[in-house]
Amino acid sequence: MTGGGRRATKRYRTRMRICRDILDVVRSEGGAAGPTRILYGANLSHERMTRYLADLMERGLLEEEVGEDGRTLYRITERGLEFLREFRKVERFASAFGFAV
Amino acid sequence: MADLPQPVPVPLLVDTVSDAFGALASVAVAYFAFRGYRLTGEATLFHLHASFALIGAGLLVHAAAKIHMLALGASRPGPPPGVLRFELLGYAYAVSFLAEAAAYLILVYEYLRRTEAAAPSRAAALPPPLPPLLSFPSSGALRAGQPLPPLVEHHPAAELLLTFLLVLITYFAASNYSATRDRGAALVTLGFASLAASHLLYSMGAVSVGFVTAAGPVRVLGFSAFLGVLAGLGGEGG
Repeated sequence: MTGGGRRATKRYRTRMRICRDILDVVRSEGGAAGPTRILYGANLSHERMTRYLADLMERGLLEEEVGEDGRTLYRITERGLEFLREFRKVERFASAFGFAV
Repeated sequence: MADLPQPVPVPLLVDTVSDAFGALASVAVAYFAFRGYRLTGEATLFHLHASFALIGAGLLVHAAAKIHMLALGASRPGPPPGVLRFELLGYAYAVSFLAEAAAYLILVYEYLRRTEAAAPSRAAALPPPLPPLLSFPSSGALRAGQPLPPLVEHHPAAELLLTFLLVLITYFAASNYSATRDRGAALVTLGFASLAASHLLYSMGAVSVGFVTAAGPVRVLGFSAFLGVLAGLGGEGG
């Protein structure tokens, strides 16, 4: 069996779970958020965040824009909101069975 | 004599309808679980998909065999040939039983895995040890190298085994409900509890055919509860 080793109780986030967390942070900031907010809100390193943001923009879930003060903002798209809605449905479905996603 | 088509036996009709309904409901749950798996990449959702797909496939095979029997009975005078009656229904039931048993084992595994991940002290988290599983009386019939004989429909031992697995799953689902008090969790608990009750009723079919007739609606209630979970997801806004 597993011998004496204990299975780690920490749950690692899947790639999609991280995407969901990023989009959730942006949505909760009123639909657009700067990189620092996303970094702390989604609990990511800068390198990983940059990678994920590029991926989300490539898939049309986020779009980059420049704010009035010249700072970069990331805005959630309609497709991103749809992804969040679908993800929440799946979370509720899994949770009804007692599983976390 | 007996040149007229036989009247459809009510227990067979109820059983066929409940099988067909259960198959469709299971496919619906399996489909949603697969959509969730594609979206999130979570293995748990794939296991949920696999278990409901197995239940659906097994019930579909069983229902198809019964529909075939009903069609035979309706189209030709007299009862269907005995060989067909027992072989076809027996094999279809065996497929359905194996599929359901595999599906429930997957769910038990998934619940145990979740329990282990959530609570390091397994002894406290797992249910108390249960008495040994059923002993099949005719173990001589299962010698190595021999093909498995088709099961008698709703064989008490097979039904009790499924009841045992479902009681275990109901325990985990009820634990989840007691922790969350969520409507979906209540429906899932009701679903598995109803399925457990229906298999218990099937196991008592040898005592009275009335138990088999009663098992059908109970099973329909169980699968309706699962459909209720899906309906609740559609109703709530994102």
